Order: sequence, then C-alpha cells, then structure tokens
Amino acid sequence: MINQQDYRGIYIHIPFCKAKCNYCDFYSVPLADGDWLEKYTRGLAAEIQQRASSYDGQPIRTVYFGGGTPSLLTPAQIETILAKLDQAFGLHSPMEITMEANPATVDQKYLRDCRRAGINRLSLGVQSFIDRELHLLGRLHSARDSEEAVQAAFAAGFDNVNLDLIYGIPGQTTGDWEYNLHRAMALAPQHLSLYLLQLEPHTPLGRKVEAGQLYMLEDEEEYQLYRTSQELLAQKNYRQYEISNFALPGKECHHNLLYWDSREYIGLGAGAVSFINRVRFRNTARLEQYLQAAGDYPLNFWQGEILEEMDEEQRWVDAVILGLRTARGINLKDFYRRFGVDLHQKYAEVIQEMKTGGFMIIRDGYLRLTPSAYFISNQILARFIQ
Amino acid sequence: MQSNIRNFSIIAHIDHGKSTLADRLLQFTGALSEREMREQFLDKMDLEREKGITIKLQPVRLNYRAADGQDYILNLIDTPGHVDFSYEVSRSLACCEGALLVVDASQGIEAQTLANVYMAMDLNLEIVGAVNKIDLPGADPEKVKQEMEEVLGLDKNDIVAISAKLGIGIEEVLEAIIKFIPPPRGDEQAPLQALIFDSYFDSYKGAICYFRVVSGQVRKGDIIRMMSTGKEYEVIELGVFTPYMTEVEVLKAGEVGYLAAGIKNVSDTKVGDTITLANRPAAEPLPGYKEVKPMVYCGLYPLENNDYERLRDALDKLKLNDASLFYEPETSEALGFGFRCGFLGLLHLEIIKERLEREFDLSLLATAPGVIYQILLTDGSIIYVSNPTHWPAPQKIEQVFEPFVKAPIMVPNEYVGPVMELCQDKRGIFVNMEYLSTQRVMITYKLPLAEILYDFFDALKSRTRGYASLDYEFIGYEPGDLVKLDIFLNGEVVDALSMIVHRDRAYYRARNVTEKLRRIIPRQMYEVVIQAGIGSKIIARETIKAMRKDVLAKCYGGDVTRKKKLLEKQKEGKKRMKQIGRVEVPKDAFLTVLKVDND
Repeated sequence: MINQQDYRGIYIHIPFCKAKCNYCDFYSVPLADGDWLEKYTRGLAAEIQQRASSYDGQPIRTVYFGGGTPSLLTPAQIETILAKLDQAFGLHSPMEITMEANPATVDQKYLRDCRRAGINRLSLGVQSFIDRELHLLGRLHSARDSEEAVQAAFAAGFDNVNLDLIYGIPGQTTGDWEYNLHRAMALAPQHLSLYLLQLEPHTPLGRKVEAGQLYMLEDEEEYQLYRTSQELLAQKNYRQYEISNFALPGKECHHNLLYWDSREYIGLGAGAVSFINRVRFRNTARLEQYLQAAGDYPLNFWQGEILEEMDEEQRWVDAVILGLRTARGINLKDFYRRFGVDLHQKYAEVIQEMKTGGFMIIRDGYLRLTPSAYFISNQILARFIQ
Repeated sequence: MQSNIRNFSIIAHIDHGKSTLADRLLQFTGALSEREMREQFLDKMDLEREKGITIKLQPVRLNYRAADGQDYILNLIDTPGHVDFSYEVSRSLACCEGALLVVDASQGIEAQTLANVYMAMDLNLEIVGAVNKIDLPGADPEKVKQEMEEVLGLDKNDIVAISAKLGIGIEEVLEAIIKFIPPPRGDEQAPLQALIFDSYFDSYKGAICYFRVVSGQVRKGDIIRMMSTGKEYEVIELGVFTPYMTEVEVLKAGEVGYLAAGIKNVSDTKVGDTITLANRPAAEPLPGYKEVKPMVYCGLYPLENNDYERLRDALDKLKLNDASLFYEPETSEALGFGFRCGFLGLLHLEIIKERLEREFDLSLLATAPGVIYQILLTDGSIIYVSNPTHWPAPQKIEQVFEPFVKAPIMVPNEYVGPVMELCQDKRGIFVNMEYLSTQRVMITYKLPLAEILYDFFDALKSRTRGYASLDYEFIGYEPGDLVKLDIFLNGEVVDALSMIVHRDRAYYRARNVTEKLRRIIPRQMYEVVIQAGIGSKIIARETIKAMRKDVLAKCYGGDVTRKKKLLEKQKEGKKRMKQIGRVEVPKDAFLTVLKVDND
C-alpha cells in the first residue's frame, strides 16, 4: 500500500498515435517520423531537468504514461525517462508506474521489457470485444488482439492490469454490453474502467451523428447499460470506487485517486496539465518545442497557458466535485482540516435534500453519493458550486 | 402669434407609415440634418424601434415657411397606433386642434384608426386626410379616398396622396395642415392654464412635465401651482422640442413645451392636471382626462427575492410616465413578494415587463394575465377579484360577473365566416354587421374580455391572413359560469398558476396547460407530477420522468477545469429557474403556459 501522507504524482503525455480514433479529441498527432520518439524522449528529459530544479521536494508516489499511445515508446526510451525522473525528483518504492497501451502495439516480449524498465501497472485500451464496435470507433485492433494483449501482459509478469471499455456506442444493446463485460471479466484483469462514450462535435463520429447517419443511445438506455455494469461487476468482486472505475480490492489506481483526492501533480510533455502550488496550467501543445536537436532547449520551453490560479475557495470546491466522484466520498474531518470548511454545516440544506432523495449518505464521517446517483452526479455537484 | 401655430397629432394604424411620415416631416422642415436622421426618430425607446411600433408619444416642434411666405410653428404630437394605448392617443389629441389621419392606400381604414378618428371628432378636432404608400403595387388611393369620404365624411378632394417612404407629397401635407387645421385661440393675457399631457423622471432635474399652454403664459422663474394638489414650484427650466430639448424664456397660449421645477416626488406631476401661476391662479382647472382603468392584471415577481424594493422603485418611476399603470403589493406562496399590476392590455403588459427588465436590470416573473371579476357572494356582498388566489370557495359564490367588451372587427368580406366562427368560439355575442364598401365589412361582437386576452389576436390574424383589425371598448359586466382551475406540482398547488376559466373550457384548458408544463419543465432529479383540478377534483395529469443521465464519465487531471466550467454553467442555468417546492420551473413558464396555441 502507498501511504496516505502528502504526496504527488507525475503524468507524462505521449502525444503520438498510429491513427486517430473516431471519437477522440485529445491532443495527439499521427506519428509521421520514427525519429520523433527519440527526440521527444530527449525533450522530456530536458523538461524533467528544468522542472525539477524548482521542485519543492514533496515525495512522488505515482507515475502515469498517458496519451496518445505511450506504448509506441521503446522499452529503452521508457527506461531513459524513468531514470531521469528518479535522478531529478527521486522515485522511491513503493511506486505505482502505469502505462497506457494499445492492444495493437504490444506483444509479450515488449511488455516484459517494459516491466523490466519499471512499469508495474498496465492499462489496455481494449474499448470493446465486438469488432463491429471497434470498427465504428476507428480502433486499429480486433477483439482477438485485445485478448492476446491481456494474456501477454500476464505472461510478461504484470499483476496489475486495467482494461478500458466504452459503452453507449451507437447500436449497442444491453446484450452487446453484457457480452463485452463477460469477455472482459473472463480475462480476470485487476481493474476495469468503463467509460460512457462522449460525443465530441469535431470528431468523425460527432459529425456522423450530426449528419443523422448514426444515432446515440437514449439517456434511459445508457443508464440501463450503466446499471448493468454495476450489477455484473459486483458479482465478480469488482468494487466500484469511482463513477467509471472498478477494481479488485487493493487494486485501485493510486494515480487516479490522487486526482480525485484533489492532490497536486506534475504534468510533463506536450499539452500535459499540471496542478502545482495551487496553479493549474497546461504545457505548450507545440510539439516542435520538444523535437529540437539535443541539448538545445531554451529555458521554460515547455510552458504553455495557465488554466486556473486557485484561491482557497476554488480549491475546496475542486475537492468537493472531485471527492464526490469516489465511492469512499469525502472525509468531513479531513476536509475541515485541509480547507477549514465544515461542509456538513455549510451545505446542510442541500445535503439534507439529497439525503431525503436517496442521492447522498453520510456514513463513518464520510459524505458520499449513493451508487444510484452517480449517473446524475452533475445535478448534485452543481449544487455545491458557489 | 397664435395664428401661425398649428398643433396636430397623427392618427394611423400600425404599419400604415406614421413614424416614417413623421421622419419625413422632420427632414423636410429641416429640424434634423441628414447626419442626425435615423429611422423612427420620435420613437425614443429601443423597444419601439425593435417592435416597429410607437408606445410613447414624443412631441416635436417644426418650423415651416409655407407657400404663403409666412413662417409657421407646427407642434406634432405623435400617437401610438395600438389598441392598448388609446388612452395615450386621447392625451395627445386633447392638446391639438387637428389630426392628420394616415391610411394605407392598399389596406384602407382599420378598426383602431376609426376609433381614434371618432375620438378626435368628439374633441372637435379638424381631420386632415392622407393616403400613404401610394408607391406600392397594390395601392388604390382613389378607392381608399372614397372609403374615407363615405365612412368618415371627409371631402375626398381634400385628401392628400403621399408616399412617406419616397418623400412624395410631404409639402402638400404640410400645406393641408396649415390650411385646414385652425390655429389655437387661447387668451395670452388670461391667467395661466397649461395641461400636462406627459411627464417623465430625470435623475438630475426631477420630474419633467410636457404640457400645452391653453391660456396665459409661463416664464422661467415663475412660481407655478399644480391645481390638483395645490403644491407650488419654481420653474427652473422651460423649453421646446426641436426635437431636442431646447430652452426658451417664455411659452404662451397655444404653445407646447416642457418644464422642470425641481419636482422630486413622482406623484406630484399628474398627467391631466392643470398648471397655473401661484400669484395669479386660474379660476378653474382644465377638464382633465378620465381616469383610465386597467383591463388586464398579472402578478410581477422579482426572481431574486431581495430585488423587491428595486422593483417597487422601478414601478414608481414608470408610473410617472404612465398613468395607466396600476400596482399594489401582493404575496404568493410559490413566488414570494411581488406586485399585482394592472395594464391597459397585453402589449402594455409585455412592454412594461420588458422595460423593467431592460431599463432597471431586473429579472422578473410574470403570472398569467387575467381580468377583474365581480363576484356576488351568498351573503349579498360584492367583491372584485383579479388574483385567482383570492377566488372565494365555490359554496360562497352566488354569481360571477365578468367584463365584456364591444369589439368592432374590420375585415375583407371573404373572411366574414372565419371571423364569426372565431367570435362564436370565444363565447362572443353577435351585435351587427355593416358594409364599409363593397369589399369591406365591420362585424361587431360582444366578447368576454378574458377571451380576448387569451390568444384572440393571434387567432384572428391567422384566420384572416392578417387582414382583420380589431378595436375593443369595455361595456360592462355580465354573468358568466366561471371556475377556478388550480395547477399542482407534485401534489402542491402552485398559486401563481391558478386561473379563472369558463366551466365548459376547463377540461380543455387543464389538458392544454398540463401538457405545456410537461414540455417546458426540464427533467429533474425526481419525477414530477403535474395536475390540474377544480377544487379537489383532478381533471388532467402529466408526468415528467426523473432525469436519467447527467454525468461526466471521465474526469482526470486535465479535465478538472473543464468540468468545473460545465458545472458553473449548469449552476448559472438554475438562475433562470424558480424553485417551487422541490421542482425547478423555468421563469417564463408562467406566461408561456397561458399563450396557448389555438386548437
């Protein structure tokens, strides 16, 4: 277990993909030049060096390689980055080091080498076990690739594997979704992230829906899929610990818990978001800043835009809307200690109304949403916004 | 020289081009340079320009050198053309010796025009006729002149044919005004009598009175006395409208102008009051205006409860310009503290509400508009009820009486059938039918005013392709079989949505309103049951299912800011809602509910 003392996490963004998925509006670019990864790794190393020089020394407990497609990195590049992080920030066990991977890009040997390089948690972007759905999402892999990737991960020695699945895909029935869940659970991953398909307007999928060629599911249908997940996963001992996340006991993702605990994190790489010393900012999304010749990085080349500079109140509002995403909820005493705000008293009326409606409970000093309220959680969270 | 003064107003139906003609008169007489000119110059409010109608009259003084070589002062007092504002029209007319009647060359005389012309004739005003829009393809000036001669008794040879838009015939209009409208004949040496026909509040100068000097004269520095209150003030500023306010030293009998006298109190400048001089008062005040009675009532509530005082101040200020506005405090269980307000009509209501929101930055909620009922109770007493909340229990009611109006409707003869059908539908009682010409008919009905409030205009327009015009005047109370229809949200009555309806329509209205509410109230965290009932008997029911989905599935480091913005927006959206019990109702629901689409 990672202790609950004050700690920070590091997020590393790898903004490359072989091809863009139909639903994705994250920052990523098609990998045009094999050389880029090597250059980008050097850019990251330079950023790590610069960022660490002003770092306050809080211990780092988690590292998360996200993307894009981090599994495009070679094990050697991963090793380089982690070594640089250790040298600059100090990585001390126990560490959770996660890498997102695309099932189409990995095999057992690659995964074993990644593990040797230091990765100890793997998050596989499976999305679906139905090829028709994968095609619709624009994924490059098949259901079979996913299955093989999971098996390869276990064979490579990983004992902490997450599968990402997407539900609410146009045309998806409850039967389709149950099938997906059963296939996923049959592989016995330690962790499952189930995401409702979010329609982004400027994506191929968004345009098809706009044009009336595809139809999103009704709210009621999406809700039924969500309830199905909650029921099926509970039967197999997967505990829901956040709105979209389920894990076997003890296998929750610490890096993500850090976000929902409203702790600070360092985001590295193009377009990555950091939250440090009460400022939330995004690195430059200009990839060329990172792809320069070795050693030629100007000071603060990674800097981008400030998203929020938070005062005390904004900080605790963050803590409420993030904390209520988790099944554990908000420890009211802790909250008071951290922010000096007595939530129970400040929102007595809202909390009472939500309790009466069956949307919230207070138990053992924790304020939390009931699982049946997760799917309308925005309604509740909005009541806590000032 | 009074012989060189002409005071006149313009009577015209909406869209017959009155404001455009006024613009041309301003241009032609050089009151405004090209640079200063903009459309509908005398319509001061943005609202008027937006809606293309005149609400508030705005006087102007024109200097004109006529064909006879003499210089004349023409005081134009513009008038509104909507049925709601006939009171304003009568105020303008009382200050004039004549009226310019503008009729569209393709439309002919409309009901409202006729009513205003009769009003002018009653006041012994000379009528100068003008047929406008002769440039349009469908124009038939000769036929319209003929109609004006037959219906109004004007000499068709004296009627001017013009196009205000193209500036044709403007000079002829000015010459006709000088030729036919008599000059004022007040005694300049007599004690001062000046009629206040409008006033407004200026934050620096206090109340500003617009007036017409009928006899005597007034100077800057004079001590004036308001004859209704006896209160006295010193004239600080005196002026005329060129159309800008321009100071002058003296205003004499026959002239039109304004004055400021440091009048702080809104209620001290009563429209219709007579101003005289303190040291030489007139013996008698001028005949004022008859007190105008509101016809339409609704509740106005601030969305933010602490805006109540601001709303009161705003109403006080509007009241100064608008004697017809009535208001008194009331409370609603659902809406809190607000005012019951009385208006001349629906347009008046809408305008006041919009002005309160725009000019005073208030967010308001309006309840369903209704009329004032006369109720004979079983104990023999009579009460008047305009707020459905105060409707007595059925067993206490002996008989209900509702206001009726006489409504002449002018329409091309091919629409007689649909119009009569509509009136019949609205519980109308046929009075008579007259042919104005071979193609145009005036049908007169007696109608319950409440039915006219309830989408009558829209229905009339759609059934006659916009050709019908309507006027109405209150004629008295008549018995009616009326009941109170209550609306319930999750079992709790929403007092602000209660309405008085005819028993035969109650079921239809109940269905209509509940269905409308179902569509207008967004899904909430809880199921919402909407019911309508008379007394304890429920006659319609709708359900809004609980909201199923409102979630951000992914929320990690980079998403937090976006997530927060989303929630803030959501929170902002709640401000457009009124919390009633546990149900959030959009604030415009109250008015929308009553604007029921016909059939």
